[in-house]
Amino acid sequence: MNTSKVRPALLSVVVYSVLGILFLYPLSRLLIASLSREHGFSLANLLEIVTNNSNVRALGNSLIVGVVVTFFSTTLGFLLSWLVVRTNIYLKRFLQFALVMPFFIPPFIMAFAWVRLLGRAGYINQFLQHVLGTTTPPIQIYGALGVILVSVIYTYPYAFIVISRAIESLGAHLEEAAQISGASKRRVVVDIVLPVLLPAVGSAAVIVFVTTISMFGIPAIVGTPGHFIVITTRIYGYVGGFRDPNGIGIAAGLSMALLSLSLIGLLLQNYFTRKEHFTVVTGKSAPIALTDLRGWRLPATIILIILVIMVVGAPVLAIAATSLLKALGLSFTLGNLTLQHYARLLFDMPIVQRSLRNSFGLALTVPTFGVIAAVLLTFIKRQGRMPGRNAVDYIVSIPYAVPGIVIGVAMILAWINPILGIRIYNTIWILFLAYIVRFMIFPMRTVTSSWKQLDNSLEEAGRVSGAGKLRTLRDISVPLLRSGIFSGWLLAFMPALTELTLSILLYSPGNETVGVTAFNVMQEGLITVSSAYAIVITVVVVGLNIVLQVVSGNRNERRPTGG
Amino acid sequence: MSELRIRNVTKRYGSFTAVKDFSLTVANGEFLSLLGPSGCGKTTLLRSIAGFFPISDGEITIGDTVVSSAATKLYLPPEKRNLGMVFQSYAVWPHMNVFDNVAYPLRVRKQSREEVRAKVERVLSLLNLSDQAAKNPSELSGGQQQRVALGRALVMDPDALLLDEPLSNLDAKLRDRMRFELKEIQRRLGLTIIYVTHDQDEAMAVSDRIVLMQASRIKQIGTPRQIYQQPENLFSATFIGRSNIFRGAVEAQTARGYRISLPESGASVPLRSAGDPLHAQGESVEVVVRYENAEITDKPEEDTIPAKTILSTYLGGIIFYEFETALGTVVAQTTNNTQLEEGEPVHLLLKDAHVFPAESENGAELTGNMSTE
Repeated sequence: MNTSKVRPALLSVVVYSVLGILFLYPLSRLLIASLSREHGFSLANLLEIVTNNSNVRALGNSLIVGVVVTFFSTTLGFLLSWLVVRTNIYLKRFLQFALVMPFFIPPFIMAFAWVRLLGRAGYINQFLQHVLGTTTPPIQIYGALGVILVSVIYTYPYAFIVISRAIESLGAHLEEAAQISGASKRRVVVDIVLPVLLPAVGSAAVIVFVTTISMFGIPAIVGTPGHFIVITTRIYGYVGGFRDPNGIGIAAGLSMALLSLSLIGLLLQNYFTRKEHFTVVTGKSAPIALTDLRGWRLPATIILIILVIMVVGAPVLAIAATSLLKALGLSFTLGNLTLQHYARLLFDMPIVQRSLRNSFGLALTVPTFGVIAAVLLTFIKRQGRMPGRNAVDYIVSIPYAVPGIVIGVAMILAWINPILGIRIYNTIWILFLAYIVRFMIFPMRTVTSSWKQLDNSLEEAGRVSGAGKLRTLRDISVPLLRSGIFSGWLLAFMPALTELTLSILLYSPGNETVGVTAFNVMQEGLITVSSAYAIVITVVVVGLNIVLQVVSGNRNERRPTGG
Repeated sequence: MSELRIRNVTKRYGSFTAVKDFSLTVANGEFLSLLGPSGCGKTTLLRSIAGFFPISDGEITIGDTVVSSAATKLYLPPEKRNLGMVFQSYAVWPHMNVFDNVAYPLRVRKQSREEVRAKVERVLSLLNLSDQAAKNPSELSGGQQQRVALGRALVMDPDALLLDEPLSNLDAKLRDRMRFELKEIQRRLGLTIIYVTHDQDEAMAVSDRIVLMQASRIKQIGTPRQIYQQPENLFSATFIGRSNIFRGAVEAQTARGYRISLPESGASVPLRSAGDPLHAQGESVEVVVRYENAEITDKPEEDTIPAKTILSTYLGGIIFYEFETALGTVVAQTTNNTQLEEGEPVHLLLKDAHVFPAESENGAELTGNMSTE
């Protein structure tokens, strides 16, 4: 054997071991745990899911919430896309941005904010009580209704983004051809537009469904206090709260159930996007003729602005207001306002400072590591000599199908005992590993796809010019991939900063994250401080998003064409 | 510059053989074209020479250095071969300006700052790019990007220059100009060039020698003139130039050619041969007559056949006429100003015909292809 064969073999052993330990080992532990009790193989955990009424109800609740939210979010997303993309509504650019705002606000903060509006002492309830002259709050947010409401607000931007992109790519010539053929406007919509958009709508619906059933923060904050439990909060209960000796096994079983639902969803999405390939062959097209809303133009614009105020403005305003009150229940007069909660939060609560440090630390290191790993993995893959190299993509994208809470349970099972004397559980490293598993997909995707767009000859030109493989990687590939690298880093950075689901299962004292401390402060009922915390997080996240959008926008403008 | 030797090179991808048993020596300072239809293996061969992958069989040497050898598993990576290469897509790096693009091979070779500057400036001025040195590739036209790519390939004094369809992305006029500039630079610097193209005009215009390839193999090697005037096989005769092709049997040898009988119509047609080897009576043959070798006369002469005008295509300097004859449709190309009306009867003299033994398998396919031209 010469070196040209030994080195790729060695390399692939290393690559697959690392990927296996990180990605496959935890999931296999999860599967094993779901199928065993202390005496070995057993179906007791799975049986517990089917026979225990609370578990059955949690499963049913998840499904009901999933279906209802999917229906409303997809419908809303479709209507909004249509209005913003294909009609002559006013303020298009503003609406396009404002309507996806809920997407940037961490869901548990959104949930908390809605409690400030519609909870027992919520502002809207107070107002309605005042108007109606009753003593009981007329709206009850805790429970199914609240979970559905907040979930719809959090998930409709997914549908909006996917569907409006599809509508944008819908060439006007498709419709013009139908009109020329003699179809009325109505028939054009029914015969051409809807069928062509169906794959995108279906795909959006699946994304919304999977996101909704995987969500933890919203049902934990809005559902649990109203005794409305879904799978994710039930799993959290088994892992954290219930004194059940078999708790982790049952949690593993529930996780497998949730995972199956999510996988079915993903297969469906694959089906939809595959069909989409047939229809996306539209090519370049003439500018789309916008539908004239005529008399509805102004009213429609006003309705959408009210919607934006409702879904983003009102909740943020509610927590902002609460955060400034000296004490809950006081009226809004100048004398009652204070910044003391912010001061207390940022200066008197070491746990908060610590969690900020931890979260920023994780949010900076995880994407950086992810980006480097993605570049190296793709580079090795492209050398074309590693056996089974296509498996790399599949392994890395597995967690995309796995809900966060399920990854959390799997990580506990995998790392709870020290391995080879290395203790990872109860340290910050378990969070680091879990974040890598969860967010690695983003840099991997952006790096792989921008590398695919790179003409091979650009790198070959480096080689013939005299640069070796690594030198070419450094001088040619990486600089040309920088926008893919940058956006992959960002896509991992943003959710890592405010991650809650994994962190709540895996944190330990001293290793809290922002999501964890915010969630715990909210659970403790420190409403004014929680509000201040929520505002701080929202301002940081939205601010960073705006800054980064501006920066990346400028970058794109400066580089008009590639090679 | 040094001689480049390719010995019995074969490149297989799984069960597919892209290049089969290819041998060739490229002389120092020679402009050599690899010409053939897409999929004939010309690009694979070029990339084997560049060293982007090991070869399955054979050996490649540059000067005295063996760069690829299947027998000893020796395979020098591209960065160690000292070859220049220009890609079809130019592959000018968009994140470097013109100067940096051209300077890169020198910087990789750790040459001194002054040396780099001097050499790059010399190359840029040779290519009329001195004013563009500080520009980004996105600000350049296609032709300018092409020159940058060429400059980058030239700057390190390569042992040979490999060009992979470098002109195919340019528009027709620019392509003509670049073709001559390339030839001019090659002469001036005494470069050894291996040039891959599917465009016969391009190959004819620039090459000292052409290697005509088809289906992974060499069909003919020769100067442009040799390939055009003395095609060795049906493929060579039909790939270069525009031709009438028909299939028949030798009925008799005549003073200056043959009488060919056509099995389908039963007709018998005289033609003058370009001096190919003699074919026996009764032998099945393919006959190729270039458009310009179908001569139009108004009176019957020795070896002419009657023809009826069907269609004329006027292209300014040249005119194509389509005739109905006992052979079927025959196209003649003429440069003089004869004006023929549709339906007008004339006579055709088929001269300089190339006659080859009929190839049963792909002969039929070729006839089908060429008749559409």
